[in-house]
Amino acid sequence: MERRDFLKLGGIVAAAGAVAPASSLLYASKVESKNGNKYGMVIDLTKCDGCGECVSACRTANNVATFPDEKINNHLLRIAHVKSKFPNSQEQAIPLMCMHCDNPPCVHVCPVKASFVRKDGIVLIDKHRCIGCRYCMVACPYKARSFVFKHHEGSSNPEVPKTMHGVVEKCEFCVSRVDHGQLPVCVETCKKGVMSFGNLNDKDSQVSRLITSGRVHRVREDLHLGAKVYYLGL
Amino acid sequence: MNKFMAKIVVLIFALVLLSPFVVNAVRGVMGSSATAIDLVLPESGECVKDKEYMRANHMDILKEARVKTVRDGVRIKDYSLKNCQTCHTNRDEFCDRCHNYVGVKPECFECHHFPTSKERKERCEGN
Amino acid sequence: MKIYFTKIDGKSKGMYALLAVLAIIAATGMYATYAMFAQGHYITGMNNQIPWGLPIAVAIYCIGLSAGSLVLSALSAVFGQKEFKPFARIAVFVAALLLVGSLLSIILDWGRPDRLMLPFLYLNPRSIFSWNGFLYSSYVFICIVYLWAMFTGRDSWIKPMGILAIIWAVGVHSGTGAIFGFINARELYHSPLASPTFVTAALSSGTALMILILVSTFKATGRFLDNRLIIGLAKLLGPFILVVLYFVTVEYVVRLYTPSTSEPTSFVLFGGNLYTYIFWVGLILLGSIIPCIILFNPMTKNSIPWIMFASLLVVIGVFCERLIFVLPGQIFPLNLFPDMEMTSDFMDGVITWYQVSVAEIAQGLGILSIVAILYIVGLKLFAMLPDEARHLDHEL
Ligand code: HEC
Ligand code: HEC
Ligand code: HEC
Repeated sequence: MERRDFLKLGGIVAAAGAVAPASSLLYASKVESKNGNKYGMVIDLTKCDGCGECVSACRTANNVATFPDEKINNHLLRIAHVKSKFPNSQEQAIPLMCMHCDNPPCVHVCPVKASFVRKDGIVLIDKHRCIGCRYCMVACPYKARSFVFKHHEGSSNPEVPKTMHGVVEKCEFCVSRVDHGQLPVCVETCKKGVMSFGNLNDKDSQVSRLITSGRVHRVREDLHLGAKVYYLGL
Repeated sequence: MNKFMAKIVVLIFALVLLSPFVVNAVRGVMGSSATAIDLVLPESGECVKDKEYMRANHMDILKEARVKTVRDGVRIKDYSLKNCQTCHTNRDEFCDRCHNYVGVKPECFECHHFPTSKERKERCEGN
Repeated sequence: MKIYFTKIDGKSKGMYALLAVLAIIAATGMYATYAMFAQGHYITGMNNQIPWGLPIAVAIYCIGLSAGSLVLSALSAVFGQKEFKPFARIAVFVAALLLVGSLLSIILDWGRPDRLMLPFLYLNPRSIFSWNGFLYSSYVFICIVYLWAMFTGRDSWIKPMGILAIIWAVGVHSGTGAIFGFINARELYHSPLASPTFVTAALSSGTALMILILVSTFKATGRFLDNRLIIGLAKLLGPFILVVLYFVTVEYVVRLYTPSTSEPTSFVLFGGNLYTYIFWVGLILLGSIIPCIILFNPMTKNSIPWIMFASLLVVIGVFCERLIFVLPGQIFPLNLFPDMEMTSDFMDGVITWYQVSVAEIAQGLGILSIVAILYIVGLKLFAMLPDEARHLDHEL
């Protein structure tokens, strides 16, 4: 083969090698689990008074990094108070967490695939792999992720690993509880029945029934992320 | 002069590259005279695999288990770190002692709860 | 004309003093980095609202600078501007060094730099970061091969390598802009113009930096540098600045016009805060208008001191542009419920200021001084600099 041919061939191969993965960059990959479960949550805001019990339960159960400085204090679940700009409008308490999108920007940007969507639709962080670049935090429209800024002794629940300094954490629907057939801690804690958790693929589950009732919305639906946390009365 | 400089640079570079091996070799020579470490082993029961296999491959078992658990959602109960604690109750007398001896520092216990004997004692006193 | 490249002597007291000062700054920077990991990243100005701070600005700034220097070498190798040939080697060398600097800055910014190899083991093809990791490291590699071809006199390689390096540079810089442009969630990031703005800002800041480096290096080593060469570079710098200015204008006008983005944009442009000053004073006035006046004014455009001054302003101005690029998009709160008022104990709905910390500044300066040290050592070990840089006309 002549040198020129060789160079040409090399060029073609290089171009093909560059284009093939690039195509996956361009097409959004919808995560779909055909059989099996797809977990989601419905939050009934009409029942929520913002007492915050779910938040504190979440903090202890998941060993969330807790610091007095509110800027570096981590939140997996938080309660936002929202009101419209009309005068005298009512304030609404809204529990916010990871929305477990079908099309999550945090997963798309992760350079090591530490963030990923599990087969059952739960968005997880593989903390063994996370390099702490915080790109996911920049990309997440819900501010669902927190970086652990400092070493902390958070062994309030030895059953669950805490997160070390230098890694990002977020709500994972209490995945180890879910795998053992329990409900996420926040759902279990709430006495008012604000939250319900279940299988979206199952037509008879409570979440499916609430969703098909047709009055649910998701936060920032305009972004087309396919969030799996629905709100009644948003 | 410049050749000399270049040689020195190469020498320093080589030394830096080789230093871990040198350190380990020296440590091995020094350490071999010492008596073998005494690990506190569980009195009864059998490990999840045989002893020789565990000694050589426990890290692979754990790492495979963690990939399966976290990424695939397949919880292998036998090979989870929580299971190890049921028999190897004290980390400092078992895992850490051996790891210090061979000079590895697994980062796992920054996140995973695996009590040392001190923590266990404190917990007992607390109760 | 044959160009003779030689090493620098590097035995003067001044140089050792300079190296010592740089080494002290670098050591301070490394200590600051150590402190971040030993004590925790809370000693930086970053927090959960602003996960990216000064280190990322420094990183993308270094990446940008490296583009411009590469273009300088491409001028002679690819675009046939033979008079710039004396600078070919040093330009590529500086490009590679700056990229190393930016990689250092990025990696030391990670929470777990010990997991350095993971991005190469687990590529995520949808992540622009993943692509950048590949692009940056191969860019350094291409620069090294390019240098090697020039050193060993493989003349037939130089043009293809130059072309490849340019293509790669465009990729690298578009990729870096896309880090921000792809982020749909943040109004001040999401923009198709992010990449082109980044590339042009890279060109202008890189050319300006090369002017500064060339003039000062030739002066410090007592070599002859033809003024006409620097003036030729300055002729490039002016239009580059104008293009950046144009892109920035388009970007901000569109954002100001769009209702959904006008609030954060007017926060930056007319908020009367630090970023307003960085934008108007740093980027527009010092970084664009004054240099343009200098570079297009017949009285000053041929004077080396004025060109140096303009270049310095551009280098500073583009750093301001990088800050404007990275910071306000995070400082302005995310808009979870449009047209509603939102509060929480996680800094929702309020503007959280980024207070840059001493540690981050020390780290940034440390990384820049490491680059400078490598530059000086490189000049000493390899024949980078031409004996003299004359304009081609001298031959006649
Ligand atoms: C940054 C924190 C972190 C570090 C460091 C870490 N892990 Fe994990 N690990 C986790 C989390 C979180 C889970 C998921 C727990 C769950 O889903 O129940 C997990 C799960 C596991 C599991 C499966 C579940 C279990 O309880 O055993 C194994 C095995 C495991 N890790 C092993 C390791 C090993 C070995 C190391 C050290 C090389 C390590 N981990 C380091 C956070 C960490
Ligand atoms: C049912 C109790 C039990 C469990 C669970 C268990 N081990 Fe063991 N392990 C033992 C016993 C008993 C021995 C000693 C075997 C012997 O001496 O033959 C041992 C030996 C070992 C050794 C070799 C020690 C040596 O002397 O070289 C290692 C390493 C080890 N275990 C690691 C683990 C790890 C890692 C886990 C968790 C995945 C684990 N073990 C779970 C009981 C257990
Ligand atoms: C008999 C000695 C011995 C005992 C006991 C032992 N280990 Fe290890 N372990 C080693 C050695 C040796 C290595 C290093 C292997 C290597 O680097 O290839 C290692 C490595 C590891 C690693 C991987 C570290 C890394 O950074 O890749 C993990 C995880 C680990 N051990 C966990 C445990 C746990 C948990 C226990 C206690 C239940 C334990 N080991 C007990 C000898 C031991």
